[in-house]
Amino acid sequence: MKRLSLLIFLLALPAFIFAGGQKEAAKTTGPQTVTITVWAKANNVEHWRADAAVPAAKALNEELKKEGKNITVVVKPIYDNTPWGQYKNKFTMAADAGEGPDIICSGHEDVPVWAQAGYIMPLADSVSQVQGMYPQFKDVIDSLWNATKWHGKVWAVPQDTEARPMFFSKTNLKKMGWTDAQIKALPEKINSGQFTLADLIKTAQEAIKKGVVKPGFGFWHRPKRGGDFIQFYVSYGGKVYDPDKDKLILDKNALLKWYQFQRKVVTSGITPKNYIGTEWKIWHDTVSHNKALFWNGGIWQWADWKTNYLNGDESILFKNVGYALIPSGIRGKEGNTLSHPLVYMVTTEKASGNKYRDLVIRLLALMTTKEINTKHALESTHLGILKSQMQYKPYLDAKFLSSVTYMLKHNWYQPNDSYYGQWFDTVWKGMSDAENGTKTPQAAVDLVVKEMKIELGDNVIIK
Amino acid sequence: MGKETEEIKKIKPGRPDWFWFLFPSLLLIVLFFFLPVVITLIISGTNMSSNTGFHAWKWVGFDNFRKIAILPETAGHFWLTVKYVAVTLAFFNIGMALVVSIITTHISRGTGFFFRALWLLPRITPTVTYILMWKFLGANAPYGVFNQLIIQPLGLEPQNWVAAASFLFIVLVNGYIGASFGMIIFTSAIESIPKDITIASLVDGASMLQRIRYIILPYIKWPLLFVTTYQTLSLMTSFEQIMVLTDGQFNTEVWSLWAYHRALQNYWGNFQWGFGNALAAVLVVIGIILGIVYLRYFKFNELVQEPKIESL
Amino acid sequence: MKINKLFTKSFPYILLIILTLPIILGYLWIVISTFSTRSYGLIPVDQNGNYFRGLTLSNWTFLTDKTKTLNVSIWLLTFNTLIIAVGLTVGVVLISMMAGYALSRIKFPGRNPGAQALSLFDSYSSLISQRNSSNCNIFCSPLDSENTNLRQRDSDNRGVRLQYFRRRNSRKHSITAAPWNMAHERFF
Repeated sequence: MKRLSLLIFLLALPAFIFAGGQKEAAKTTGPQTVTITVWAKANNVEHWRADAAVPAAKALNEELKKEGKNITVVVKPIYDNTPWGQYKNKFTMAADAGEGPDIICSGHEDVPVWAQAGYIMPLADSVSQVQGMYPQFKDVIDSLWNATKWHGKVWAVPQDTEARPMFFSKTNLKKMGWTDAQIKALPEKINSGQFTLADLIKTAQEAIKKGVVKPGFGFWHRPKRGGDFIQFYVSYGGKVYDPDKDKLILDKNALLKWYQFQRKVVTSGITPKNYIGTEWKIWHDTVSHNKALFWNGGIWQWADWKTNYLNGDESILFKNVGYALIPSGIRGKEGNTLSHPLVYMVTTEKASGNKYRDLVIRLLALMTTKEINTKHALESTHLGILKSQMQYKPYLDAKFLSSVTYMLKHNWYQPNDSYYGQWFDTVWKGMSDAENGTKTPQAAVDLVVKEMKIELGDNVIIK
Repeated sequence: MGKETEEIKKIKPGRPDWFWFLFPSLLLIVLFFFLPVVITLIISGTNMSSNTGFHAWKWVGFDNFRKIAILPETAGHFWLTVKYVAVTLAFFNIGMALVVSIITTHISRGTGFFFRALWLLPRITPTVTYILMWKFLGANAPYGVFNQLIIQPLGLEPQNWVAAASFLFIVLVNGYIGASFGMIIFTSAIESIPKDITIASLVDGASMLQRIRYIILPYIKWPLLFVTTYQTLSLMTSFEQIMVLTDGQFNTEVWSLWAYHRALQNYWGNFQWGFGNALAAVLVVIGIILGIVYLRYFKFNELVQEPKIESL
Repeated sequence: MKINKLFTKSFPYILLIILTLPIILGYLWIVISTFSTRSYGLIPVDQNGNYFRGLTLSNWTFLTDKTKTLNVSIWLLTFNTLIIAVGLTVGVVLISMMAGYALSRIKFPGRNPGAQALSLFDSYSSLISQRNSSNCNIFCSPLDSENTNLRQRDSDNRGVRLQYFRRRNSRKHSITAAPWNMAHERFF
């Protein structure tokens, strides 16, 4: 009974709470006012994802005034720190009810799903067309547009991106007897495929043997579910997507090698047993305090370590921590890194009631400036997305960011395929089975293949 | 007698009294139980997902159920759920609740009250905080409390116990919340056992175990059956604690969590509402069947006696 | 003989303490960790892992300083919680009292099966309505404040995250979160 009435309150509560906020609506200054809502999932250092619209709207209003148009644009940036799943769920519900925002900032993998459901609209028919629309779009790094394409059209504007490097402890390598020159050369060796994942295991085992790090602290991969793991599948030559056939791929051979790797890190003692699911707090504490030898994470975590674990002292990180691409599993093949650009999408009239498509896109262009984007990049340690940022002094002054930007040359994106979510879930489940030893890598692969066939049928090519 | 009844009927025409008393509850049940069940069943016959939105979906008949039947992972989730419900119920929601309520009613009143208050804590703690507590009880060295106080002094190898003993942990986490429900009900039932009977048994020289077997258990039969029934269904559908603790890792994905993940908490946000609802529908059907079986088997109709008066 | 008697007398207490141990240790950990920078087991440590250091009140500053972790006054949240709790209690007691009275005192067709079925309904509503309970947590913030400030991509720390929903343009901040997954969750 209690639960039932609880639900009534759940339903009534939003009305009660929002009653306060809604009243302060936009002040009308011109004959015509256009309100543009922007949603972004962000925490307090990422608020520029939504707030970029404020300076952009100011600039837009000035432009409109100069052009003599009687339109005033008012923006409502809303940022929301819920988990991704919930955030996306919320947007889906709102858009389906026709109450979505005009601009939604989310991962690029949502493009096919939301395009298919009719929530977002294409911006242009080709990359060259979108580049011709506004000079700001021309400034966006070319390869990033690839992440915004689906069925040939461009559906979104990149907002930020990042790299997910393999971090290593320089001081611990030195304790093992590596020379400064050797340590300095490691990123390049990984880059060129001379230092592979097998070497990583060997080095970590040696570190444990020499007592430089404790058993189980040789290699700490990401502790929880995430796209990062697919990097190792790619390292073993796996492909996720066939752009020609527009279908997902499951490469059994690469999958097996990847699962064997995940199992081997545990059996060789460089990763703790039953490690998946370790608390983030513990993970950050361990890696930022130089207790591990190798760990793979994301560049945005740098700011977290600095601020929350090292009292804001970045020099400790530069002294201890090195970073490189994710090593390849095949000797001679170059390293890789996964980038997961966030993008701005423009919603359809049906999803948001937005009738001013051109104004919205124009606002997006003005949000995509080096000044605004650099503020976001610096505050949240994300990579810039504009060519002009690479010569922009505030961006160049950020030592860490400018030293990882090269990774974008070796990056790959998860495919814009509406079945990727299911593909990922199936593969992830198999991986944790293999790593935890509940199934042998081969058995896990067999199960994944079987489930993939049932779940996705013809939508996946199994090699 | 007859005259009086007639008079009352004259004063209150229209619907009978019981209708207005029951109306609010019935309304809630229809709105939040029957309607959702119907919606769940309807959606389970569609391919509704993020890809289709709420408009472009199609009827697929029993395809979702067929998929449940042929997926290799189904059996695993099913047996895990059975095991989890049975073990938690037997050892905690009933077993532990009995033990705690019997002990706390047979020691000094103040102490008993204190311990019962402790046992209530898990229930009044927000789920996330409560689970965080368990995570750090079982966490790997140097963070975990168990490793620090028990494992390392014994010279054993510390590890992340939440992962290493995942099944035990989901049982413990739910059990320590669930036990307090039975504890409260059993305690009040035990305390209402007439004192003369207990005293008589003491005079006869009955041991504690004999008293439990021949006095306490027979006296609290109904509460026992009610708690069993209610907690079985409750455990079958509860997943929030497991979700926060392991999120289904280490073979802890019970059926309801599976449904939830498929329908609403998919990592990349590709929600399969149709399939998720089919999973939920299976659980609802099992629950209804179990409920009916319990009611029949435990003869609940004896518990619900006819009232002695017919009207107000 | 004396020892034997002492044993039988203390046995229930010992058993009870052992059974209650996880609760005792767990809540001890909660209390200790809210007063320390971080902790190793039950021992507070500072950022560099030195034992018995790093005792701090900073996890509790949300009580007075509303800008640091919550962006909203804790008292507003407390007030919201209170409204929900009191409203729920009154509503539930009223509605179930009425139903209970009718079921126990009045005879009417369909009363017995109705009363039996009623006792089973509640456990099912959670599944069917599929609420997300990880949604709302305000009170965990003292435990987690050091993590709340920075970016966690891809739902890192899901569930433990403080949820707020902030409207930049308006002065008032709206809160969608409230700790209603507290006591009522599985109580009745």
